[in-house]
Amino acid sequence: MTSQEDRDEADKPHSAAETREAEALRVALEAGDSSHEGVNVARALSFAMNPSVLSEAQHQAAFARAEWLTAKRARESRRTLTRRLIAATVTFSAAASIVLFVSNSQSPRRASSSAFGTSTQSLFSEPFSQDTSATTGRLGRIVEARSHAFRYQRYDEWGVR
Amino acid sequence: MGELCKIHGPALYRSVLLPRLGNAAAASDALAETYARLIEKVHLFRWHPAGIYPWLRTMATHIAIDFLRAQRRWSVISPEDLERDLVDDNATDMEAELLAHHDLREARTRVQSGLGKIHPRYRRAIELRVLEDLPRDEVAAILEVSPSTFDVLLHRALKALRAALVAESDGAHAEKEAKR
Repeated sequence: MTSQEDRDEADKPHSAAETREAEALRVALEAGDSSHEGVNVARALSFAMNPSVLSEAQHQAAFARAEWLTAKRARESRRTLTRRLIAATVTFSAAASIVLFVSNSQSPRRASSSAFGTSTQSLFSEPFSQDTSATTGRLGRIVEARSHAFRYQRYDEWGVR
Repeated sequence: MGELCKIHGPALYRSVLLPRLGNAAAASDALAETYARLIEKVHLFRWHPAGIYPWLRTMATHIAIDFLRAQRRWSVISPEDLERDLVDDNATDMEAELLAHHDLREARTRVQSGLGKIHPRYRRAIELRVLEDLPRDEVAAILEVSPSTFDVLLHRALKALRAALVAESDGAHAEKEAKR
């Protein structure tokens, strides 16, 4: 191929659309517009052939960003671990509750009479007198009631009642 | 850790990340990510006679592949080629300086090979305007065309080079597949 033929092939007539695309490329190249594909290709070629050196400021910025990234990831990883622990605890608790519920519902119920109230209201139907000597009598009544309840609890536990 | 990054950062940026990503902002982000992984995973490094650089370079290459896939931006070396190179790489035992030189040469060889496959006037237009960064009017005068005709020439030249590099990458891929 002669030099003239070379030129003819490369400089063959161009369409209006091609002229518009070439003009857009020129504008983008001059403006450094990286959204234009042609500019990206030109930059990629340039960086592949003559890559620029890393400046101290670029290194410092990259290192600061790296430290921030590692701290962020560590926080996220701790958060994930905490979430997993909580989820595991909740699951375990729920499973334990279900097991407890099922085993309780399958075993015979204890007599409900083993549960006694601690209120002393039922022991005193009359109003308290102002006489302090009556205190011993009231205490005696409470002690007797508690002893009674205690005995019944024992009998329940021993299964003799 | 900062000292380690300071020693190897410049080579990783200039030889591995910038030529492969073809974008300064993306290369800076990828370098930060490489530093972050170094901080997080340095305990996984096992002693090697060539030092830590080959390990860092492999990590940086993986990051470059991820960036290229995420950005979907054209690059001189495609992510598929980078992945293949990582598998077939027999240069990992080289020391830092040799390895950096090897990576720089590889990227340049690829561009030169692509330039060798396109029309000589297209090649000249790219060399003068893109690689040597000469002003548009000056390049148009050297190529003996009007500035507006030069714009069309450069537009065609970049398209042709991109197509040549893609075809070369596909051809290399097919050849390697055939060998397997």
